Amino acid sequence: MIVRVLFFASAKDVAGTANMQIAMADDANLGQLKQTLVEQIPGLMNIMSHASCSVDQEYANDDRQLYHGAEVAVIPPVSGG
Amino acid sequence: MIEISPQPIDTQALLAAVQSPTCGAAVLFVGSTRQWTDGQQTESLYYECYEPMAVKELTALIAESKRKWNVESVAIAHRMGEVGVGQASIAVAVASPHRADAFAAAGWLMDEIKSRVPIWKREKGVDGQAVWVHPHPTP
Repeated sequence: MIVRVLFFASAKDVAGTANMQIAMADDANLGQLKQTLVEQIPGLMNIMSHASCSVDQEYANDDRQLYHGAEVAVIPPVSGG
Repeated sequence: MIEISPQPIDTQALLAAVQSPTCGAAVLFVGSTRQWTDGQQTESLYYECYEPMAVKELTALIAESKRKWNVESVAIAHRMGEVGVGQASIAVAVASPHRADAFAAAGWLMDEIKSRVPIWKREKGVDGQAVWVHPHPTP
């Protein structure tokens, strides 16, 4: 399956892109995707240890099952206001 | 009412949007770019957001504030892009029959916005250095 990954703020700077498509096994969960992201972009390691992730615009835990076409976002600690 | 826009925030329009004859109280909170933070001089802030999720989160927070307090109407505006010193980056307006609910809900909404809504600021100092502000882990 292919999932879409969005990067924001410092994660976008480190990834060098605002979004990418990534191929995963059909039964992959969010934790496995995070692992794959860090393998492909080692600079994300530090950010990923503090960041949250969302699936389809909702905060999600590592055990969240992914599916083809899912929209995942890497959300570094927020600072709105 | 939720507004996420690079345009300057019309705080009076936001306040007017929540006021009604049934509400004896309306609170308007305005957050703006502060000149000094921990001895560092700021020139401007730059905001970006994950807009569809930010709108979802703000919608859920407004609904929750109405469950927690006797609040009739809430309006939130957040500016995006460059926001200079002294300019408003966020405004929250809350109207309720009595003032205690509006004060409490407005304070709670600001705390929740700062801790979970996917919006980020990059701080640009007068020295030209620009850094993302990532204060504490998001839930």
